[in-house]
Amino acid sequence: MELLRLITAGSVDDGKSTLIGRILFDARALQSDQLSALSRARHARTISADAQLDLALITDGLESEREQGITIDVAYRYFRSAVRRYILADAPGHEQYTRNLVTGASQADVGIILIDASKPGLAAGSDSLPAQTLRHTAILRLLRLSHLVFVVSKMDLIAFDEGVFKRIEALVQRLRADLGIESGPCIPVSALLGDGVTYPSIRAPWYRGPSLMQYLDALSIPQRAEPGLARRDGALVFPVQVALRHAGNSQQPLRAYLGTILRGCMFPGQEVVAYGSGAYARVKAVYPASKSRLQPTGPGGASDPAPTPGIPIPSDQDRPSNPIHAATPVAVVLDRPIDLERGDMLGSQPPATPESSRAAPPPGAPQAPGSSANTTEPHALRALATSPEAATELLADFCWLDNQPLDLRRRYALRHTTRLVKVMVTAVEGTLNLETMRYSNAGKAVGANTIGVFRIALQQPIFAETFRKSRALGAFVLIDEVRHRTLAAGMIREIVRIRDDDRFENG
Amino acid sequence: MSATVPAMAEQGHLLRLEAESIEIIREVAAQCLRPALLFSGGKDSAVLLHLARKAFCLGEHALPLPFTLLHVDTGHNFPEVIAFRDRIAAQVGATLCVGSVEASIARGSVRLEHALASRNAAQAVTLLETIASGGFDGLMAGARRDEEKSRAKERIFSFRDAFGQWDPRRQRPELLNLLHASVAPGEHMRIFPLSNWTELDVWEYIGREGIELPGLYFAHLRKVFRRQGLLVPLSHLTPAEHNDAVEEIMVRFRTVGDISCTCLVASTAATVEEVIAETAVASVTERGATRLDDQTSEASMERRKREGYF
Repeated sequence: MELLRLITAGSVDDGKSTLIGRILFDARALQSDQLSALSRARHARTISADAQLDLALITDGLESEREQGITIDVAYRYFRSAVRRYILADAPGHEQYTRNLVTGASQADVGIILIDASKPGLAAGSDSLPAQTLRHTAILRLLRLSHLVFVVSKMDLIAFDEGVFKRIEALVQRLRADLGIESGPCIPVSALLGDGVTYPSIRAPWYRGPSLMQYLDALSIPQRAEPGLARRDGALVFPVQVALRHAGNSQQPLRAYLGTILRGCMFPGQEVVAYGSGAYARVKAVYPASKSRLQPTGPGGASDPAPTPGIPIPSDQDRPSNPIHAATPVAVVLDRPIDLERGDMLGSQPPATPESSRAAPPPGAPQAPGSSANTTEPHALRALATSPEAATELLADFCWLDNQPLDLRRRYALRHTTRLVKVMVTAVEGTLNLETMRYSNAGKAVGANTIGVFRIALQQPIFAETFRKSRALGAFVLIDEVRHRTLAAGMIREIVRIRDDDRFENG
Repeated sequence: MSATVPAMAEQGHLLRLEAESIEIIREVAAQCLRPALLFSGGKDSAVLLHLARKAFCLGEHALPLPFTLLHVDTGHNFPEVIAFRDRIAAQVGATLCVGSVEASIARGSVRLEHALASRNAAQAVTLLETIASGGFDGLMAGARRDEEKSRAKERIFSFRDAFGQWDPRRQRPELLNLLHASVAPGEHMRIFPLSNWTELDVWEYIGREGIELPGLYFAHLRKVFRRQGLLVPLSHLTPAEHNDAVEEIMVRFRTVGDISCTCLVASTAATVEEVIAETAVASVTERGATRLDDQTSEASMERRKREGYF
């Protein structure tokens, strides 16, 4: 059974909570005590007209949220269908909680965007989608979810009018084209009545597509959402999470490196290079954590309490053993001591040179209709051929998360994979106007929920790729080390240049 | 065991959950100066300890566990669970640090309404005292988001201020796996590596890995009586009153906590596979079936969490 992560974006008024309640109800993920708690819960919002359960109440967790009748924070829900295990992140829709949508979406494979069919403008034939829908779509696009599905909700309130739905569907098509989002379904639903959510709609016989859950169950999703890359493809990328200097015993001193393989595979005998120092070594042994064979170790244990036996390092004759693939947590032992710490990275190829990756087109942030530069993804083959690049200056999309505004005079910390480096934001190139969905470069202050593009200078290089190539190698957060706050989420647009003195030297 | 536990190929979700949890546990070891793992002997903490051991292992060679094991003993715990806790802690060669609610009562920092009152809420005080005296800056625990509404909004790295308080508005945004644990002195981080697991995942994983649990989790004969629709175990802390009808039936615990507030479910599930089958079709949540205190108010867990409860 595979795991699929979803995020729903939409405001309370769009019927998002009811949709989630319906999904959980149909999946039998709600249990009798939860249903009876719904009738105990006091809530300002009214129970639906025909006195059915208010399914929306299931998802409003915190007291302050119930009092205000809105969703503030991301809530996570768990359910299973016949074929999949799902994690659904229920994110708030209000503009003032944009940051929660951004962080919730960062882990999701699929975004579900709700459009309320009963909105007066849409029903009356407006020629644009609500501003909020544009904003949610743009944010999910910025975070590069592999699939976006549009759900046209509250169809019961417009009597399942095919004409209204078709008009909304056409607007969605235009939005997809504008933002360069690959095609995907637009599904009419009534979460209240259960139409089109899990089961096909009986009240909209003119709709021939899948229900929402039929669509989701049929999706195929790559592990860890590395676009275009299967688990086995690509050169090895292994960020060191923990460096253990004394992993062995007194007879066999040993260094071990713990971490999760980010891309490619690892096997004994493989030649690896430490990014940064440029030192080469061979992999002596790689132990997947899932295959650890645990034995009692202490005096209460059943096994021999004698001194710890020697560590079974495979001899050269044992090679090659099965390669261990990406997304696997492992412990690695190398054949020689090299300078390698938490935050460093091991690769099977040296880092890419700036020339080899400069050809990538600027990434597709929300742009004006009609621009075509961002409608094609860079081909996966290029990602196969290149490794992360040493970066000391970045151009990045960001969402500012903290209540204290950006201060260009201050030094912050940047966390990328397991690496923490000092940085300064050198310039704000533009901020996104959420009303017009256009960037302006007027020197607007950057505060909570601001989305924009900034330029960052790094004190030490990170080994990165653009976010469009890799979410894991293209994402970072900014941290205020004095206040211990997470300030901003960053998505790398472009690795600007490499200073000559930091250029990686291939020994 | 192999008869009902799905084959490896069908357990992709367990591997992905395991990988996520191990990455989180290693992150705690890398970032916290004095990390601890809350180990009560209950099933979630047994799974958490198992994952922590797998995270620090070279094949068959276990590395020293870089965490202290921590438990808050209310003095009202099931003796067999305490024995299990001590035995497993010794087996894995870890240091076990126990905070005692009775010691807090003796010290005067905890006052109960009456001698038999539930000590569940008082645990928070003792826990904070234990954290302060041990200087712990990161506490891992086996709480899951599917347990309860306010937990559904919990971060993986959950920030607690100098008073140990949880404030939903001060939680840190978590982008991808870029979690950060740095705190000011006196503050600490609570970390929930099993956040994305469900009760069923936990049981499937216990079956897959052969994780040992206290016998209370499996069906056994026990004297019980019914109160507020719940099955209460007959004990010196939960005595029957004159109109309670005591009966002896086959039961098991779905959660194991303080005796005074943990209830039973009627069950004949004597093996992990049978428990998995039962969990898959359960019609009541884990806490709903078994906790006397959570029903008190719709927001009772949220209020207790604000006060430093796990």
